Amino acid sequence: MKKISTAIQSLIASGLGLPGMQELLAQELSDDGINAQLTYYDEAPLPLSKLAFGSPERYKINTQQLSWVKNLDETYNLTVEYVHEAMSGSSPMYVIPSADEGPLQAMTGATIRDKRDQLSASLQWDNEAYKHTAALGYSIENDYQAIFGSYAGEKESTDGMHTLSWGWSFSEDKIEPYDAIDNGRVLSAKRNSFSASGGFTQVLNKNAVIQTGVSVTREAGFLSDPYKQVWVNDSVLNDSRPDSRLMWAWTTKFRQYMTRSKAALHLDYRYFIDDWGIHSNTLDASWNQPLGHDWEIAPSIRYYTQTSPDFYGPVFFIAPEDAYWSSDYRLATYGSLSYQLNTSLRKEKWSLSFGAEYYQSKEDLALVGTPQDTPALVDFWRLTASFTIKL
Amino acid sequence: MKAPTAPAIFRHHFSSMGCPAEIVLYAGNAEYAASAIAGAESEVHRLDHKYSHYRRDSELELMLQQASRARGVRVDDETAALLNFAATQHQVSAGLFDITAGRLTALWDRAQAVPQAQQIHSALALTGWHRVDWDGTRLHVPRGMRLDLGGVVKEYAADRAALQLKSAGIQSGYIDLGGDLHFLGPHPDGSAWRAGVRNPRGAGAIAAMTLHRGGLATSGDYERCLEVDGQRFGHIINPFTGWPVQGLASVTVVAPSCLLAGAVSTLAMLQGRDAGLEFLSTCGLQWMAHDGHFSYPGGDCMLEQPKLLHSCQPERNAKHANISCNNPSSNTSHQTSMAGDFTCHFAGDHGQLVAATG
Repeated sequence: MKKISTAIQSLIASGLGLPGMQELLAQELSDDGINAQLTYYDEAPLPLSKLAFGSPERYKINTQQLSWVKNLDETYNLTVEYVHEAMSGSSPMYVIPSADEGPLQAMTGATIRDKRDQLSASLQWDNEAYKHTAALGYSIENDYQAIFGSYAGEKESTDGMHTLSWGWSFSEDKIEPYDAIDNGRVLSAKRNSFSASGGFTQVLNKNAVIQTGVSVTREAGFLSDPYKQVWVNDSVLNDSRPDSRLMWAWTTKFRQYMTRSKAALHLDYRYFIDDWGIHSNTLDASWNQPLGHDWEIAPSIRYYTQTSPDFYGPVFFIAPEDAYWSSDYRLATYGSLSYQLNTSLRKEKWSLSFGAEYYQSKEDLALVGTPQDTPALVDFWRLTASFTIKL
Repeated sequence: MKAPTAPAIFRHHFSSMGCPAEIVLYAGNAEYAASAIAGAESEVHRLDHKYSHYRRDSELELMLQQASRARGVRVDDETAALLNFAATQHQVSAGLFDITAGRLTALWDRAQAVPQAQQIHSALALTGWHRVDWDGTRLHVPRGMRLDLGGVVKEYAADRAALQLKSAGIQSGYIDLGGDLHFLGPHPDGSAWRAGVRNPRGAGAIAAMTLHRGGLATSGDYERCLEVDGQRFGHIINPFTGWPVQGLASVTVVAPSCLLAGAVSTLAMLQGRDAGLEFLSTCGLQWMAHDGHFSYPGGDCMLEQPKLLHSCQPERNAKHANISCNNPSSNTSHQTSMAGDFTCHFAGDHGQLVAATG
């Protein structure tokens, strides 16, 4: 359809309220299509006042993503996706204590260049009130390979007022680090993870929906980062973490449609806890506002706060007895704020969207826990552009 | 391996909602076709029984009796959705579309001559959606007011019957309820249906619109019309003046649903020639309007040259309620059905006109 007046839009919306109308018109909305997405991710350089040595330039990642959706018949829907990522920049290695200036960050010197390719396929099928999705994928980098798979099921009640969902996923990873012998890194290691989840969605009224769910994940194998080291009692030793991890997450999502402004408010909360001692809270709010002429704008804000695990420290002056230590900034006690703005233009046969995100992490944004100086905490920009065409 | 049976075309004529109706579909065998057709037909009869203003025993009549009591009446979900749709039409047309104009419609429907000013005045006194108390579940109307859902229900019934066919697994075919059509999907070879647009001022079709699926509806001043001294008075009444609207002779619209097609064509008729054409030009749909002298095709209207069309000669033997099977590959001569004195539809296969609406 071309330009549509608001009168017609009101009639379409009102007509969809009649029994069976959405079902009847569902055939108009086949999922067949191709989506291409470009993402540019750019981490801010490390301030020179916090740099011990190495390059202050941090990661830049270019991601190209192409996916293809095809309705095989009335029941089966196939999605094939290819992702290519090119990364460059330096990464934090370890923290050096400094009496005058506080802890300083040691960075890799030469720019790391790496690329990752991932191919995955998922099959979705409906069976009366049930909806199933099974997926399998493979990801390869020069030093990393992963095979992953998942299944998700969903059952809607006959009155459509609530939906039960459940699923599981697994991943088998193999790592063979660069320059392992020269740097005393592990030559080859494996890790695996298995996750199970369950959830419940309830329609509260014609304008509000709430969803809540729990997931449990177990990771086992080599869970340390082979490219990171730790300052332990005047020595620089390899990052060393326990070889198993049990994680729990509880997520609740709320959607409220605003009749007057025709906008939708999304509120998401997530609580995470694991047996390493990390717990985190995430609060995400976004406002999806249609602007007319098929445009929509969605500003959003996300706040995150986490506590560090028992074996985290920027530096260790006394070696812990259990020989677990890490100064990976991602395990520190910190908080972050992320601001996003997404816009989209949706036409009958194609759609276009652009997004920008600014992310900022700091020790003193932490709401719980006792933060320590973490020089490698990162700020970044992420820009995305996506184009979908229906076939 | 057994070769799949090529789908054959099945037709079924019946009568409901005061007009002739037809279901045409492709199916593998007659039994399957008959069961799908029975489901669709009974859905049309259900809605006729529920909402007909011709039947004194319809649920709508009973509901209206209760709605005029002090406490009003709590209506079922389907009726509520229809009333909401009618309320939206009323709102977007700034009051021109008004289901409370039932008294006016009845007055002009029965008229042998132009009604007297006093008659129009009394009917106007019982017209106006603003006099209705409607909160989405409970309805209260002034005593004596008549609701005319005729401008909504027939189109809705075409969509509902199509849904029945779709649920029965039919992918190709259409239902024609007295000129309100819903096409389920193209011919099995993927080719589009061709629907003829009736000449509002003469015999035959003025153009054909092609479509694969969706609704097609026509509003015109030639149905149930009254002619006095060469002036034509149609059945679409302006609820403010109490007189039939003038300006456009017919408007045909193609939309995803017949309900929407019918709403848009009626709203265009109600606005008169210039405003109606302007409204159509922003509707984003395929449409074809005629003002009695000229045709105005619009949107991405897939019109074919009128000269390529067969002229459609009416035939006075409509109401045959049967299922007939034709070979879809043979171009059998088209049929035309007549009911009362207006052409309801033409039938046709590949390359032929399937439906002239009106």
